[in-house]
Amino acid sequence: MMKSSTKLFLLLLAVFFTFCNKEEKYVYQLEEVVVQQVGAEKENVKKSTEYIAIAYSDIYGKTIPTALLDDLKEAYVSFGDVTVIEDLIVRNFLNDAAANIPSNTEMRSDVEGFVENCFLQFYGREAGAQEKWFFKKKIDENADLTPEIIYYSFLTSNEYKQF
Amino acid sequence: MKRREFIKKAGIATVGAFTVPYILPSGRLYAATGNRKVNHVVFCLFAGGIRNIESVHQGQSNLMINTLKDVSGGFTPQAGIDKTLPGSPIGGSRLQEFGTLYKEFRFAQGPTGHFNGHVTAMTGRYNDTNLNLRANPSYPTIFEYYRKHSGTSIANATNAWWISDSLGAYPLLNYSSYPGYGAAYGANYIQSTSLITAEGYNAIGDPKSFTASNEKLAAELKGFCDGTFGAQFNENAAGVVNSVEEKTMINAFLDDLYQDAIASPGYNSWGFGGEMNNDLRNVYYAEEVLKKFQPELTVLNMQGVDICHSNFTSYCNNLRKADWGLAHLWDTIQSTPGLANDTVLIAVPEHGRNLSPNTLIDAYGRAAFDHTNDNNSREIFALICGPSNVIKQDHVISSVEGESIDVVPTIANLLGFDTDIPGGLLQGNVLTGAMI
Repeated sequence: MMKSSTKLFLLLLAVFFTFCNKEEKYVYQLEEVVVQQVGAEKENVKKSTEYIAIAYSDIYGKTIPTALLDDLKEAYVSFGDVTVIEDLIVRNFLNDAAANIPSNTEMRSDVEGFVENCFLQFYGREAGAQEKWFFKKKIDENADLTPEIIYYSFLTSNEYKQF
Repeated sequence: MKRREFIKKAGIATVGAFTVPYILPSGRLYAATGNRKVNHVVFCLFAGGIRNIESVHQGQSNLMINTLKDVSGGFTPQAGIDKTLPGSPIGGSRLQEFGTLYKEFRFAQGPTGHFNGHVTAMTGRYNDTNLNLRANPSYPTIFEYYRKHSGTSIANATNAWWISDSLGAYPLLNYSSYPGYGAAYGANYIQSTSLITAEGYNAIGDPKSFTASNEKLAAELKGFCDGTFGAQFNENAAGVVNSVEEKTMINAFLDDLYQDAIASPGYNSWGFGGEMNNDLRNVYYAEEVLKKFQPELTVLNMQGVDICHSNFTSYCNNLRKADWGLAHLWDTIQSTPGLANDTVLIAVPEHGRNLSPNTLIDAYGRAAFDHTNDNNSREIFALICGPSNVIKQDHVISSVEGESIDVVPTIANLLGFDTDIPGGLLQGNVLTGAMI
């Protein structure tokens, strides 16, 4: 049988370890996430020839002929407000029967696919959830919203003019 | 003082400190300091290098029969300079009767080059150093002074036009790189003889049009895309930008010009036939701009006489055509409601030409002339025409008076904002000798 003094010692030892356990410290941190608005990395404005050539390629699916590029460049430098000329050039492309634009039926048969393709083709990136939702809603709500109008909106947007 | 009371008082003080914008009866937002003398100025750079010997001194008889009164005998046909041009656009009057002629104006400093001469006339500053032909002028142009300082709510881009006869460096003259000015205050630029062509039509002449509701939809979609775009976008990075309403007007205007060109350009009715040249075409398109937009400030140029480097006879013929074009411009101004009797027309060559010829002789045995900074190439004239209550009529200043750098302050004075331009920017003076 243990002596009472031994018992007391063991008891005190147990109490000591019970109350002197090193307290575990929990450190709560946030994982670093870089938040960036879409297209934020596109800080440079396309030169006129780049803009025209890329727009042509995006609409016709082929490289712009040199003679046409020269004509378009001349039109570009012949008027001070290039946004006016860019707008007219894009509209001219869209008015051409040779333009490679999906039909209204094709667009409406797969709205989500059409929107995703637009973002990939014109912006070189995937559409965000909000962007998909917005365009799908607009297409669904507006029976007369054609692919030409959507192409025009992309091609004249600020993001398309930068890289 | 209690915080609420302080805010209240501060608010009252603030109201007192700021001048609240209001629309003046004339449609102006803030009044410029000076008084307007007219509401429109057209500045024609009668350019390409014209010697006073052939212009105001009439050394080859009066080649400017529509502009200048005869020194002696009027126009005398000579070998190669004998074409019968269409009749006087101003009923046989001479333009100088409607204003003041400075016979001994000067391009006093700087290289006598075409572009340099244009820069000087349009910025009001001489340039003694070499110009960068790929960059906008380093000092503000008259367009920027007008749009920034005229204090009018309508000093938008369609109220300022630069109508050039050629491309090259000339498109750069619609605004400068000067800090605080630049494209945001620039003019609309058009080089019609390059734009209104078959190639131009193929490029922009057949645009897709949408219904009004679809245009609205397109704008909404574009607005959404622009709203989510994270990078900074400077709309003036690529030049002057018009408002949506102005763009609509410009698109309609360009369409009108193409329809006119397809049907048969209006200038065909002028009667020049095969003698039509780029100067006259540029005058025609300037007149179309004036009629459509009635801008407060318009600058155009002609440079056909520059053929004088190799062909003096053609120089004389082109000078006659430029003279006719200037008179036709005046007639259009006076025939256009809103511009008539409320417009000052200023015509000044950018520089002259040498006294001594180069070695080239044309088919009629006449020697050609360059422009290489001799005294003769600095001698030019200035004609300022306008309403009789503003500009002295039929007035001639024969002594050496006035310089190229005086044109910008004179335009600013006529449009009432000369005293609003910060000191030190302009080198010249208002040409008060022409004013009532």
